Amino acid sequence: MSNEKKIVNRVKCTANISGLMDNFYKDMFDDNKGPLCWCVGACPYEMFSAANVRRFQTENHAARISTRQEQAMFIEVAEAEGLSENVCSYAKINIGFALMMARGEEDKIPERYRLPKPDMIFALNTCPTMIQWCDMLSDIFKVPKFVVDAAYIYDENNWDRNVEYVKSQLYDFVRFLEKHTGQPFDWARLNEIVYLMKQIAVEWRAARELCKNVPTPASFLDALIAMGPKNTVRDEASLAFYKDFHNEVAQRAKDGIGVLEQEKYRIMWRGNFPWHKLGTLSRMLAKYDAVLISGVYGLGTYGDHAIDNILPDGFDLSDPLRTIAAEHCCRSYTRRFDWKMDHEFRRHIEEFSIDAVIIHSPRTCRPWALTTYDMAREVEEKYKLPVLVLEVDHTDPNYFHDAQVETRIKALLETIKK
Amino acid sequence: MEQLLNKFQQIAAEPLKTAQYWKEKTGKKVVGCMGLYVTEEIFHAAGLLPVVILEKDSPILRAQAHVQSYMCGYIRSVTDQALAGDLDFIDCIISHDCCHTIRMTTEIIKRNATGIKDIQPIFLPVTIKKAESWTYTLQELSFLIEKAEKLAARSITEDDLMQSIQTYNKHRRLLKRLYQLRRDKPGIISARQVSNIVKASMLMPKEEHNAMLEPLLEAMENKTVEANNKIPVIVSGSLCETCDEYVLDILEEVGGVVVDDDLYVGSRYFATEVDESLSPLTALALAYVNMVPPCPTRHDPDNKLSDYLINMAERARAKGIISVIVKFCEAHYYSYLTFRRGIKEFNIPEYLIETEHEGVSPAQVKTRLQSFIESIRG
Ligand code: SF4
Ligand code: SF4
Repeated sequence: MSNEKKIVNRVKCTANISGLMDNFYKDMFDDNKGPLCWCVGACPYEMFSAANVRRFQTENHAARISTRQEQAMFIEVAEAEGLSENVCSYAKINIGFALMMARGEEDKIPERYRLPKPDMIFALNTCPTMIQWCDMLSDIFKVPKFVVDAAYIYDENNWDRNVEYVKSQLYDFVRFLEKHTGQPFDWARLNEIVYLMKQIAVEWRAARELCKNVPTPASFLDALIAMGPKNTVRDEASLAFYKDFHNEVAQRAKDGIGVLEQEKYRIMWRGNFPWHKLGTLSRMLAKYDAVLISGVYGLGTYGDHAIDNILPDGFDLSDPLRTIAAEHCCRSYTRRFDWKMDHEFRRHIEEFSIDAVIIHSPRTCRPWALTTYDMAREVEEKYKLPVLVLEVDHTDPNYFHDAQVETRIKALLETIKK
Repeated sequence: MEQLLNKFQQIAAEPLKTAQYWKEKTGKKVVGCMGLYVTEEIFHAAGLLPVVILEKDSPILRAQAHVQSYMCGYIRSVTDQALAGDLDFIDCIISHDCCHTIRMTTEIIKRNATGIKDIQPIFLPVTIKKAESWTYTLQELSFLIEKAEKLAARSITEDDLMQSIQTYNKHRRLLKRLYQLRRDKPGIISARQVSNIVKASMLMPKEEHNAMLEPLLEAMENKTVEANNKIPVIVSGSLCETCDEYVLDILEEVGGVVVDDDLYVGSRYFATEVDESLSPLTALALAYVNMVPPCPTRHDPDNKLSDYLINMAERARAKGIISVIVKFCEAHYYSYLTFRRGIKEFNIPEYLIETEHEGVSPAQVKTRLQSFIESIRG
């Protein structure tokens, strides 16, 4: 294994993402675009667009700060206020950020992350942290909040009841939006965006599946960078981007262009990602001719269930709220862990010519951490693949030590028999 | 009085023994309740014995391979007990999905603890005051009734349910009397003894517990306590598990006296009575959505922990509030901070202790609690 710096040939159009996302965040300051809602969790963003309400996702904002490694200050503020270090680090960043704003310390916040104060807060608890986090924000800014409770579907026979449970709350949310905007909800626009999401899902899924090619035309890191518009922006420009993304990946696959000059090890990732170490991990792996091919995280949003009919509901344009409710009910966290999440996980291992698996067990995220030990054992026993369980964190810098992680990755790669 | 207190202590010391013995004696089935809100009355009405599955003091060995060390000690201990076969005698475990840790761990137990007879998750709405939540709660409780009927191989009538509600309400009122006596005569009973009494009630038939409580309360009513200059405090929290007794002991050793509590193994367990004037199912569902103590894992914006604890402190004339958080219990961390921000204007001293299954140094706890009590004394 050589130590020289290896070139990582990224999917070119992902370079547009930062501009796209910057513009999206700039829009938050545009008062003509309606009131501003801070959204906690994977929220029904289509509904905000249809109500002419500006919104962004607090986790996405926290991840943005972390990719430039500027999260520590916010975490310190939250912890100094009394929020435990063991709380989800996204929440610590965002709550620290909110506290600074509420105290009038905006000037200490780097300009590119600044945001206006919210007019309202929204949360959908695909993860239980989100409700508490939403409460805290609403308490800090003294603004109204709306919370949607997504049930835990422990039995597939309860599917309809649970989708209706969420859908009925979404109806109430329409009323909440109308009350706070003073405008009627635009149902036609909602339909348009749900249809848009269907098209995005098709492009996205197709691009992802192309990573079965050897060498892979795109890496999981490309996908991570590219998933922002799909997960939070959701507009026509997003669709245009995913068309470009798919086309470029397809062309690369056709031309046999890979991410690395020499693709020796194909690695699969499971779990959320240490955003602050995106570059570090990419370089670390490339050094040993290893590439992250695919990953089970953030990729299935509006996708797998609709296309594969893995779930009982596909896209139903005649009932957009039910489609949105179903989309949220099929999150890995709201379903039994041995169902959808494992299904995708196993399918990737089986179909993407994987040599080894890295499972991320984040220190401050219980939904992604729990069950990882059992999954690791299953990969070893059933698929006879080497596994590394990486116990770091999605954004808290305190748990990631470069040298230690590199030693473990190197050891993992050495066990791969080639 | 001492004799009765010893008996409660013995039952509390070996959590599952009483239920095991009951099962051998009666030949009936035992139901284990995991998580915060399993409606015990339903199983009681079917002639089953519902008991709360609590943590065990022994070191965690087997669970380490399945549950991370950065998960709450309660769940690690329960998983360990399940893997060790300690829970195999239980005929069905109902696991209330009170947080994500318990949600995922229930599946881990199901997958790995092969001796477990049956483990059934249930979901109750988190946002308890919504219209949708009402229907959902009714459906989930009806499901529990069916489950109980299957387990007991008999049907449950409305009368059965009502009788169980009455037994449980009687039990709640007796425990409330105990707490009233503690408020009226601070120091009449130690915090550890109260904890033992409530813990025992989670582990044995309520009728038997009631029969032990009645003479105890009588004895306490006739007892006087000498005036003392202890600092009255209330203790809150310790979700899903018993508040570490050494914390309570130290607190009372260093000059404090617990005059009321909002502990899980404490007043949270019996605070909400069920309305006997309604149909049983409606009443049980209502008791859930209208639960009296604000819960860190539920969402009920109008029921604030800060207001609740301030009222509790005022009623008990307490001079300080101590929160006990089970390390890694995420919901509680948030709720604690909101509480802390909420009581700022009241100027009441508060203090936080985090407990761990592996234990925190008693010497450290002692120093800190001592200075907290001294600072109140001024
Ligand atoms: S899923 Fe994990 S990372 Fe995401 S908000 Fe919840 S705790 Fe945080
Ligand atoms: S103690 Fe807290 S984290 Fe643990 S199971 Fe209970 S609610 Fe969940």
